[in-house]
Amino acid sequence: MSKHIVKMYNRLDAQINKSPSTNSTKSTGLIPQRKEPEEESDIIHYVKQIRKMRENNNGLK
Amino acid sequence: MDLSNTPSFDAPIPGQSLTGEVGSKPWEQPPKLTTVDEVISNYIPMFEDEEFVTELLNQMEAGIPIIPIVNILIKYSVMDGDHSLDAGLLAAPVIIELMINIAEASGIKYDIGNKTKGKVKPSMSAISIALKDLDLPEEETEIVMEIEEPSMGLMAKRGEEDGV
Repeated sequence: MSKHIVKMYNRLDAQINKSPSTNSTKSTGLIPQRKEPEEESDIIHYVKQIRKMRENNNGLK
Repeated sequence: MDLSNTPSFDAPIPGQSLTGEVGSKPWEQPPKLTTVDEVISNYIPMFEDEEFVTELLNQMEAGIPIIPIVNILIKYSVMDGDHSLDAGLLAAPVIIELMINIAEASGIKYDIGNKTKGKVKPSMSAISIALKDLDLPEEETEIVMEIEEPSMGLMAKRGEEDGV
């Protein structure tokens, strides 16, 4: 089970550390293409929030 | 006395889990918490318990990685019938992060336990101990030097002396 937790945590960590794509997609036609905002899963959202909280705490020290 | 090879009588008898009534154990019942949100909110009050946090910090300070601790917590809750194993696995990263938060806030060095270690080379002392355990009989290797003595008979092969 520990192995599964490690795998899950590492995968999630890699997903969070991946640089977010801020560049807008180039439109080739008359109608600009819009990229739908990627929906984050609940767990990623929670982890991000906790990490942000930790960074704030470390910044206060 | 080496106790590693002695049989343990504390272990359950094979098939013992099948002797009880179906559904009599908490983990055989439908889980109480079904969503990941519910599972996470079940664990958060634990981190407000001073006794739990102190014990957790002691474990971390002793060098126990976080992931095995989380593993035990999840398995315990599954055994209690709180949530399924899958839901616990999904909630694990959040619990790990909460534990990291506590460790950093307390200024304790921690190990997550997610780094896979490479092949560890055995030390020389370990090798020597292992070799002692083998108790190999020492083979006496005799090097037999065969020296050809020059034959002195009449039918002896002619050698270099004769210049042939």
